[in-house]
Amino acid sequence: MKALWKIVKVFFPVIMICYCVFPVKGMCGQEPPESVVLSYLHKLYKPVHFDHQVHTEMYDCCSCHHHTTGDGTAKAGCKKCHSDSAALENVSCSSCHQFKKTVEITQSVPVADPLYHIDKPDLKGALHLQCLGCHQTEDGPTGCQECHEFTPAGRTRFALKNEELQRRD
Amino acid sequence: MFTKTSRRTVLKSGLTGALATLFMRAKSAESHSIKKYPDSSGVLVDLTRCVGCRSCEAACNAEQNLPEPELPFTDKSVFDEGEHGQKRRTDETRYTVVNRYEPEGLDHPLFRKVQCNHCQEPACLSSCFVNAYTKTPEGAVIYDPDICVGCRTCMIACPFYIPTFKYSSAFHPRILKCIFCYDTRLKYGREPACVEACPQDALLFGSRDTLIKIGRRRIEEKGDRYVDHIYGEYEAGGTSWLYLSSVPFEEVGFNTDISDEPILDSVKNFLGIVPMVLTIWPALFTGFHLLATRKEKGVEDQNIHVPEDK
Ligand code: SF4
Ligand code: SF4
Repeated sequence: MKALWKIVKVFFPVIMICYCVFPVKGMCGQEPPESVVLSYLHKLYKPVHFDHQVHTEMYDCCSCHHHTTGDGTAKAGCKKCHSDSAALENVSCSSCHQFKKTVEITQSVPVADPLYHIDKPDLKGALHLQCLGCHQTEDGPTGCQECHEFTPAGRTRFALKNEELQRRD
Repeated sequence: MFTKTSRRTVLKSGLTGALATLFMRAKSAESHSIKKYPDSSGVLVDLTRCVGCRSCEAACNAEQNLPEPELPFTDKSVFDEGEHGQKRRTDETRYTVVNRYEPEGLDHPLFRKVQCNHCQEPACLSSCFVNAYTKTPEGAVIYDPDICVGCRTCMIACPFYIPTFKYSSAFHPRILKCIFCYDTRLKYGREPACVEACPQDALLFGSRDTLIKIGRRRIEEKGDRYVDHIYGEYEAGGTSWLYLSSVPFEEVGFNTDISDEPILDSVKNFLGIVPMVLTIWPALFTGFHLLATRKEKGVEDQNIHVPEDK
């Protein structure tokens, strides 16, 4: 167990870097990636191949990239300040949503600006809230294992016998 | 002081305590007033975000080296209610469970994670007469199983029915409950394993004060999504784990009859005798012992002396 943690700790920066390598260049005018590999939960789950293209065909950039792609914003909360914000250089999810969010124990207010962005989900939260939230309303797949296939470690964590078929979600 | 308290001595002190109550009136329990730690941490649980994936249960199981469950953590049949509509409870094999609720007028279920709430003024702690419990400055309510005598008072005192015992070992009872991952994580400033595992950010770790601010803000910004209350801000004197919900809390299994006063107050008077017992029992016992032996001796002496007198 301890050894596993060590491995995770060592690989964490590497994975982060890999994740950030998708320089989803700003603005809808630029070429968006066809697919994005999400592998930061690699310990328990196999990488998720997110079909970016399918999603861009169905939805506006700003429905997911709240206000960073320069095509306005669909979010009421963001509109207050970002209705006509310019496109950002880096619009990947991880450029704003950190991999891990731990508010320091002794810190009373987590960010410099106490009014906005104080309740920003971490990367895992942002992706799930965004993806699953939309999948629920738009009838996309919502079962955990419909996107996340277990690694052997994942199967052990969830007490699935190795010979057993993966249960319904 | 307590490291040397053996089960035997503690049992004796309990006996003496019972005797002492006959003679002495209880005083207020100065030694049991609990400091509030302003920078203590907590977890904000947002029921509107939880999807019942049970990742938190699986993470807890691994972190605390708990026994393998009967059904895998992917099995959603555990959400089906028991015969009499009971929900799952925490026990010695699981320090946290997620339960499903189907509140009226809502087109989707809500899930509620249950574990120790790590009260600001824990009733388990104040009811424990051998002081097996500690509230750490980081916010965790932890316990020392070596001090525990297995009297199960804390089980009854806890307003949330959290502490459980390993019944399999009747002669070495052991209290078991969520310890906020104190030993392995909280002590080092890290969030508990369940929080780390939650994919939905339904569990948010941070300083309790910040979490209350964040909770208020969510209620303010999305008023239609939340009831205007943070459960645990005041309940039972305030808890480290705090909750947001989209339906009234009693509809998702929360006890809303719990008073805002710390449970401590109601047991304070009883507890007044505890420190007294611990300090005077040796003297009292020695006294009893001396009385008893003197009497015996007296009788012997009499027996010896009788013929002399005649
Ligand atoms: S919830 Fe129960 S066991 Fe946990 S600190 Fe409060 S009184 Fe103690
Ligand atoms: S891990 Fe999070 S979303 Fe999943 S059941 Fe636990 S609290 Fe709910």
